[in-house]
Amino acid sequence: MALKINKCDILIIGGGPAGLEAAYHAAKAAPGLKISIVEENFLLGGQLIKQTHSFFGSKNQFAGKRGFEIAELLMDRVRKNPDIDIHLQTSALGCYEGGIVACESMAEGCLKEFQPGRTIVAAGARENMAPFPGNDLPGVFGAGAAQTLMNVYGVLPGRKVVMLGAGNIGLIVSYQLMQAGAEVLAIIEGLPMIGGYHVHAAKIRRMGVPILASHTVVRATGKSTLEEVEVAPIDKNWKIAGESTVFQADTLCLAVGLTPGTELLEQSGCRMAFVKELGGHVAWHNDRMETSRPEILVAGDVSGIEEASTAMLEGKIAGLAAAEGLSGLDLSDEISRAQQELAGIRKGPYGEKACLGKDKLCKLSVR
Amino acid sequence: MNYKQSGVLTGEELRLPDNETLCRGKTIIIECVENIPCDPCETSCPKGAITVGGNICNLPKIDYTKCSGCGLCVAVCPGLAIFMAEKSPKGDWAEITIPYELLPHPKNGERVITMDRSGCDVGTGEIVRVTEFKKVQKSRLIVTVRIPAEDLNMVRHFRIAEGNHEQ
Repeated sequence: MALKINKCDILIIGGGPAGLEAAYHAAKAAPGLKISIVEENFLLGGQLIKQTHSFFGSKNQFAGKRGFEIAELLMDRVRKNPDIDIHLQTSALGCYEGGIVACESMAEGCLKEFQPGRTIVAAGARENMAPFPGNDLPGVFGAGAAQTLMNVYGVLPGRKVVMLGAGNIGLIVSYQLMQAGAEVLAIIEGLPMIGGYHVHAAKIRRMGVPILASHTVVRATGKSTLEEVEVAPIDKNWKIAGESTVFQADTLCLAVGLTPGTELLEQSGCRMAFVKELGGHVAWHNDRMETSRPEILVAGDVSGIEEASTAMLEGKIAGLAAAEGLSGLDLSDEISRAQQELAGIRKGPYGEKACLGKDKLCKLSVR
Repeated sequence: MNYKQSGVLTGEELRLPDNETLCRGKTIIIECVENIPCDPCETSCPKGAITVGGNICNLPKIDYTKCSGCGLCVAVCPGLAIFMAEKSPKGDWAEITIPYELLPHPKNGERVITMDRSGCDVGTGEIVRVTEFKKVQKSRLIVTVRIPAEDLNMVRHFRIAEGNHEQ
């Protein structure tokens, strides 16, 4: 396979909200720096491209706009900047000595080697699996996968759906499935409480979709594809505590959380820490998104599971911090404004978990 | 069961406007009870009638003396949590304005089945206005349904009765 050497000052791994904002703000703050984005998908925008609901936040975070509209805005301003080059269908394979990052380009059928001054890992997260018999049947989807099928490719995953998980993803994808013409039979939640925003729950409840808290999926069955989902109430020790209900469903979506996609960070020797509030193992980082390896920064879900608005701000902070390190400019005011904005949107009860997780991380030593 | 278990607000969590306010004209009802970071209702209101304040996680407050009943906040609210209500002075009818993102699009004059916060049928209503604030929010209709006055605090959704919709 041919090898192409690419020169850049900042390499950004992942073209979702965090990566796009990192690129835009780094390029804007320190004009002349060469910035490259590698993205394994054939589209930029990460998970935003399938978000059809309107976003919360304030004007700075594009409040009121739908996710895919935000993706378009972010992509547009990155594409307009000649200092940013974009490598689609390109996966980062590893970070090596001297900060060398090896990537494979599916688009060009070659290996690409980058030797950046700074690397920002904004690789996102992946969906968790739930353990129950039948979870490998065709018709059992990650909720995010079902959302991609539906909202990016225009394919309805099924007609009769059971959703496992009443966090924001479970609630939002249920609503979007209903909008697309599927019937959501029930949303099942293991915890005694709905995890997502009440306003998302209210939208789907008033359409007549029940949310069964303190329930779990016992098993999924079907001859060759999913036909039935057995659901039962559970007690606080997650033991079955009552009679099962069987739903005749062709689709079961799992919205049971996300895990940061940290392989590159582990492989590159960044100090890792297990912080359950952030979704599992994450690379240690400070409030400038710098890891234990001075040339590697993180942003977005890979640094702790949150949502797109916080990912964008973390991306901005990481981009500015990387640009400051390479350009010698003093960007501390801009960085501290972004940090304050981030703290502001984490202030409510839904930001507590992330704050707790990030605090835990800060208390650990770098080494 | 509280709303975090059921997903449905009840009288205790809701601070619904009193009868006098409702009879005075179009009245905004904000069913936003959690401190989520969000302020488009405040920033979009042309009359400055909604206040979130310095902390973006504060709950919005509505000042009915400033509200003109334009309905922009109903279109803007990302959570689809703002409604607009009005009662006839004699109390013989009421109107509820609902943000709506489903197909098929309802049409003026159509009879619909009204639903409450838990999706249970309440009764029937008639679509009297369908508007869209395209500049602030695409693909969201702002639909006003005329209903019996006694249903006003219950109705928050509707569905188009089968066979009742002309394509």
